[in-house]
Amino acid sequence: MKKSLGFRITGQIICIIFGFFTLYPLLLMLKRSFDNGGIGNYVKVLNAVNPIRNYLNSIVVVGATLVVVSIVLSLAAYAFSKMRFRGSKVLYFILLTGMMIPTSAMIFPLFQITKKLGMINEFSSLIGPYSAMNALFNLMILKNYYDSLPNELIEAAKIDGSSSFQTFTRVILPLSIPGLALVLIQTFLSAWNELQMGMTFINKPLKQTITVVPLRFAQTMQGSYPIEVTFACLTMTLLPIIIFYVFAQKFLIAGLTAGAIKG
Amino acid sequence: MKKQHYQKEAYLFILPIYILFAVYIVYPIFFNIYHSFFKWNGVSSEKTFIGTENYIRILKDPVLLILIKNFFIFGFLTIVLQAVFGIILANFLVHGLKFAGFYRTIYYIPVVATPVVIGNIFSKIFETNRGHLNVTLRALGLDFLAKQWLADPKIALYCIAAVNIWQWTGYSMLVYYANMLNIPEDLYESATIDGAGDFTTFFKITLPLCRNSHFSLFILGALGTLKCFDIPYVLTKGGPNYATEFFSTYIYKKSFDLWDQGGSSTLVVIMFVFALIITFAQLRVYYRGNSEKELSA
Repeated sequence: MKKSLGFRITGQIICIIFGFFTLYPLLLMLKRSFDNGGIGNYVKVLNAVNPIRNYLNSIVVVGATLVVVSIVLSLAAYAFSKMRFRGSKVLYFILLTGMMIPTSAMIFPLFQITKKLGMINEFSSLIGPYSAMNALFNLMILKNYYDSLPNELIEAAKIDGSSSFQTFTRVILPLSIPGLALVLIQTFLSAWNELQMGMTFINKPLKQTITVVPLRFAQTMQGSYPIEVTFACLTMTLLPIIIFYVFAQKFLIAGLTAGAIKG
Repeated sequence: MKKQHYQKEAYLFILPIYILFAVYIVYPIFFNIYHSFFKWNGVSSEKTFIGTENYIRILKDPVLLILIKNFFIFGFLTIVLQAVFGIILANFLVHGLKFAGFYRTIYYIPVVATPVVIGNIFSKIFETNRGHLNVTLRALGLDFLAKQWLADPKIALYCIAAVNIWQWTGYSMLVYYANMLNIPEDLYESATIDGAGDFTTFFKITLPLCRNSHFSLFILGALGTLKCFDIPYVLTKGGPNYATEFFSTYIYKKSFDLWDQGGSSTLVVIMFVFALIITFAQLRVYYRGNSEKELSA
C-alpha cells in the first residue's frame, strides 16, 4: 500500500538520522585509524601485537564450534520435532532454561575444571562452552524450522525401510540447510565475539582469540603509541566480522524475518 | 486413532546436547549453589563450611543494592528506548520506504559488531579531556555540556545504557519488522478507507498486533541486562566506586580480583533467583493477557 508523501519524507529523514548515528562511531574509528601515519598505524599494530595469529586462533575455535553445534543441534532438533518418545516435552523445556544462564554464572566453575584438566590455554576450553551455549540458544529456532517440514517425507522414507538415522541424514538434513545456515551464522557471530571466557581461559598471547587483542593492546602498548594506533587495532579486530556480515547479511536477515524469531 | 509408538532411539539423538547441557550448564549451577555455603578464596584447597553466612554478608553488602538499582534503571531505559526506536524504524521500513533494505542492513551492523571493539570506541568518544564528544561540544561553544562522562558516578550508567541502545536498537527493529510483515495489509486498507491517518493506524493496529514482539523483547532485554558484561567491563570496569557495577561484572570481580569465591557463588545464586522471578512473572502476565484476548475476541 502506498503511504502518503508526508509519511515517506518523514521516514527518509528519520531513517537517515538513525543511519548517521549508527555509522558515526564506526566511521570515526576508521577515519582516525588513518590519521597521522596512514597505513603505517596498521603496520605498528602488526609489529606490536601481531593479530594474524589471533585471527587464525579465532577461526579454529569458531570452526570447531560450528562443527560441534551443527551435529549436536540437528540431532536434537530433529528428535524433538519429528520423533515420539516419553518425556519429550519436559526434556525439551529443561534444555530451553539453558538460554537464560549468563556466562558469569558458568565462568568460575568452568575455569576450575579447565585448570584441573590442564586445559588452560587449550582451544578446547573455549570450544566446549561455546558449543553448549550456542546449541542451547538455537535449539528453539531449529526445532521450529523442522516443525515446518512436512511429515509425509519421513513417513515415505520409513515405508521404504529407512532407519531413523537414515531418514535423518538422507531426507531431513538436506532439507534443513536454510534453517541450519541461520543457526550457524548466529553461532559464528556469538562465538567470534565472545570475550569473557576468551580472556579468562587463555592467557598466552599466541593462543588468544582475536577479541582479546584490544584488551592486550590497551594493557601493554597503549602508552607507547598515539591514539590513532589504538583505532587501527580496533579496526583490525572488527574487520573480519564486518566482512562476514557483508556476505551473510542477506541470509541472516531473511532467516530472522522469516518467522524464526518467536515470542 | 493411531497407536502410540515410541521411538527409543530418540534418546540417542538428544544424548549429545544433554551431555553439553550437563557439563556446561548443570554442573556450574550446582557448583555455585554448593560453594555459596563455604568460605573459600577460589584458589586454596581450604574451604570452610559457614552455612548461610555468605548470604547474610552479601545481603548487607551495599553494592548489592547498587546492582539491583542498576538492573532496574538500565533494564528499563534500554528495553523501552530500544523498543521505541526499533518500532518507529520498523514501521517506516515495512511500508515500502525507498532504500528500506539498505537501512535495515545498516541498522543491524552494531548487533553483529564485536562488543569489546564497541566498548573501546565509545571509551575514546566519552574520554574527558581529548574525547571526541567533549571536543565536539567545546568546538560548538557548548562547554557547559562537556562532562566527565565515565568518571562521574551520576552519569556513567547512562552512558553505558546509551551504548547498549546504540548496539541493540537494530535487533528490536528487526523483531518488529518481522512481526509487521505478518500483519495483513487489508487491515490497514480498511482503516484508511474509514479515514484513519498514519498515527491512528499505528496506535490502533500496529502497536497492539506487535504484542508478541513487545514481550519477547522484554524478556530478552531483562535477561540481557543480567548478562551485560563486555561493555561495562571495557568502559568503566564497574566504577567509579561501583556506580556501573552489574551482576555479571561484580561476580567476575569477586571471583578473579577479590578472591571471594564464596561471595561470588552466592551472588550467582541470587542472580538465578532474579532471572527465575523475571521469567515467571513475565510468563504469567503474558498468559493472562492471552486468555483475556481470547475472551474478548
